[in-house]
Amino acid sequence: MYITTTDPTPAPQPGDAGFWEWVQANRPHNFPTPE
Amino acid sequence: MVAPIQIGAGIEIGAGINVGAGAAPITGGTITYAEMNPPVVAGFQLQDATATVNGSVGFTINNGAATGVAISALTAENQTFFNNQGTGFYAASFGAGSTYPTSTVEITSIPSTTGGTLIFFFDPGLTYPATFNYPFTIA
Repeated sequence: MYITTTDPTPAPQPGDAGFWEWVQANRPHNFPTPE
Repeated sequence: MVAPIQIGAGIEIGAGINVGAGAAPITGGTITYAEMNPPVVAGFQLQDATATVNGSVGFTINNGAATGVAISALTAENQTFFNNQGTGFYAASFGAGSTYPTSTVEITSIPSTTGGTLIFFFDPGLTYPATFNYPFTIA
């Protein structure tokens, strides 16, 4: 029996294709500033 | 009155003994050009692919809908500082010659979750184009 694990996909870095799309998709907050 | 205590010549203070009271001051939070992992390229470290880069001085964001900045060469001190600070909205100040001396920034990713990179956004409510010169201090 084999147990397979999956390494988490490393975060892309500036200059990588799709970096800013990844940033936007993982953005926990967004302006405007909460009151 | 507290009598002063003098440490005479030849007396050494061993490791782990702190003189004086209080915790170590909080340091970090100031981002320099070197921490941008230069050269700075519009569309790479700067979300705005139309941004105007002014070398080690700073840059001008032209597109107010793309105000993100990625800093991937933080000092170890700053990595610790921003990991402790977490995501959210923070007051920031910018270097001389910046269009806005202070503003709110939104930290969206901290180094511990992005392979060492800090990502923040300038306030899209500012008027753009807007120039931001180093250093940036986020408190």
